[in-house]
Amino acid sequence: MDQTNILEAQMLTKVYEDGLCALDHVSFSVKAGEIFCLLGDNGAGKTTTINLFLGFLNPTEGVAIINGIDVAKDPLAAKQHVAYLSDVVMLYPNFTARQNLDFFARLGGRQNLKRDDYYNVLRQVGLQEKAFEQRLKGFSKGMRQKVGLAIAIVKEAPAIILDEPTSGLDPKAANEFLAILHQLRAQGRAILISTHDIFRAKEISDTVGIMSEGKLLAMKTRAELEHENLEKLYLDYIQGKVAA
Amino acid sequence: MWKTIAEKELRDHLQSTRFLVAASVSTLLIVMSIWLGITHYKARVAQYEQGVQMMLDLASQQTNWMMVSPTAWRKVRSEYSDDPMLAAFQFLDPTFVVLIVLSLIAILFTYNAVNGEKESGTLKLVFANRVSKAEYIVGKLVGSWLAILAPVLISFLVGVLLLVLLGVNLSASSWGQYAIFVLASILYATCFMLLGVFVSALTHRSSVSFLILLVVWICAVLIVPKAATMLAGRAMPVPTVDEIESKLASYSSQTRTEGMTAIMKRSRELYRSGSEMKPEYRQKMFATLQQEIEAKRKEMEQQITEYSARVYEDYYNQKSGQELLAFSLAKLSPASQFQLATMKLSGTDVALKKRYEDAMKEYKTQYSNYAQQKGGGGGISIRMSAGRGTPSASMTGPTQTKIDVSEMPKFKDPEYSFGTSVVGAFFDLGLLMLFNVFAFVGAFVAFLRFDMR
Repeated sequence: MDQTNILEAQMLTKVYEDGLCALDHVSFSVKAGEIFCLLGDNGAGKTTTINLFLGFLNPTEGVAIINGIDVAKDPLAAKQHVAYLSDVVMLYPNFTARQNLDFFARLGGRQNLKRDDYYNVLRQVGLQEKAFEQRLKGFSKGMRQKVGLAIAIVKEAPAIILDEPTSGLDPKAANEFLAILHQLRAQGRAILISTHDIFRAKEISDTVGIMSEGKLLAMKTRAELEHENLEKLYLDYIQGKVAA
Repeated sequence: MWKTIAEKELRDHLQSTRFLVAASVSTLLIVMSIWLGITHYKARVAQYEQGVQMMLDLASQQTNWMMVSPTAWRKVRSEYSDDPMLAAFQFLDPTFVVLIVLSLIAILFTYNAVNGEKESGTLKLVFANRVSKAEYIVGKLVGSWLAILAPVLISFLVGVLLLVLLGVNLSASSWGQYAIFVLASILYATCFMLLGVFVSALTHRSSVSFLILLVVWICAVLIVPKAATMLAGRAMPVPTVDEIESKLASYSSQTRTEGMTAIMKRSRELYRSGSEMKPEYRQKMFATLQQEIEAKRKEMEQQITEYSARVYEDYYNQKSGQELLAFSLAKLSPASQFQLATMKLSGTDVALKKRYEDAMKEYKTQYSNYAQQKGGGGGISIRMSAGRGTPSASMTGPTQTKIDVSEMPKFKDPEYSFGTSVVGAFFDLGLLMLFNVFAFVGAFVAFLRFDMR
């Protein structure tokens, strides 16, 4: 597997105009074929980190790099190399699954895809065939999440950023979702996930970053976590029982 | 990229239930209003032709032109007849539908154009791609505009079909006015569409933007035009016709009393001095007195006429000033801009009455000359009617030969050409265009500053 960093945060800091420090010198990297989970409570800085990678915010200090491109310097070029799935995946309810996919594929620069190409991606994420040409307004959250993931896949970007992807999903849908993430990792995508779901984070991640109050308190690899109780470790870190 | 976004926006609208309902309602109302207008127009044309024929029939029974009291029938304009069905739907004309319904639909289509996408999470999804804010907002506006354009164009094209199929013969200039009316309607709807996007980009919750837009709509369509008229009335009060007539009557009475007093005084003086005169001198003096009384009477009448003219001129000047102020204030609202533009386009603006009065004066002179030439004498009075009525004419005359009405001058509607209507509407349409430019810039800038997190 290619060992170059696809996603990289270097001393990433964000201080808002009102003085609130949302992110404090956070550094990490995600390589191709790696899943990195940012684990933390609400307000820990996970979404701010994602917003900095997507160019929705400019960093106060540090840089966010996607495939070697500084996001703050050239956000449009950087976005060409990243796919994103938000926690709210309403998408366009008047469009069918295929129409949603078609629109976002074209935005992502994939102009000449055929109907079968879209169907293949929708099959890949496990959406039922009969739902391909159905409007999204009748879809469950799990089904919409699959379409959202199909949108991320169809772009064929080397990096995928997922914001709370399993929140609101039932266990079966969440498991299906994680299975697809395993496939994407196997394809060599660098995947950054923000979550507060400790169990899923341990299950899927190659590296877990524990965040609290804008700081990245610790980074643990899969090997390091194998014999650890991640829940206890997480609580210890955020309660300050373990030195960062 | 903006084309992809515009295409998505248009398709999203076209596939929504909201579009289906709104477009059906607006199309139905516009087509219905045109159909009602055609029905009404045909009824009024028949009424007009019947009225003219009745007047000619009665006139042709006369033996002296002086006995003819012609009625000048006004051609069809915007008024509705006393037909119960039309009276029930009298508000439903295309201008009303565009003014009220289309503007509401434009708001309904766009109140959540930006903040709605933020709420549903699609805005971040879109901007996770290589899309600039400028491309996005342009695509959004173009797509929404096309979605609003579709029902408007379909409705008015059906209107054209109805006009043709129901045999309404419109002149080339009327077709031109129709086309410009459609353009004005599009411009007006665009204005509210842009306002919708603008407010949607200023707020982060669609429920808030909907409420703001509803208030803006109520102010623009219902409050500003009426408030402008009321304010102008307060700022520049104009006396009522009753007040003017009372003023004139008072002046007339005073002038006549003063004149009569002067005449009586002069008469008494002359009688006193005349009692000692020889009869031939006294007779001469009385003749002079008669001349003086006649001159004084004419002078009084002249004074009253001049005073009356001055008072009416003042009244019309004040009224014009008040109208100018009212319209200037009302033009703050795009609804007033649209309404005034369409009234000028169709020739139903406030100057319509003046145009008819001028045409009537001209016709009166023309008719008097003709009647005098034919030996009927002058002083013909002509009345104008827009509704049903019986043209009056005396049935007796000094000779037994009936008059020939074939060469009688016909009343012509005042000229209101295509050029005049377009020039008249140009300023208001220009203002509407300017409003669109401001709303576009507002929407554009607001979105550039929109926080999409």
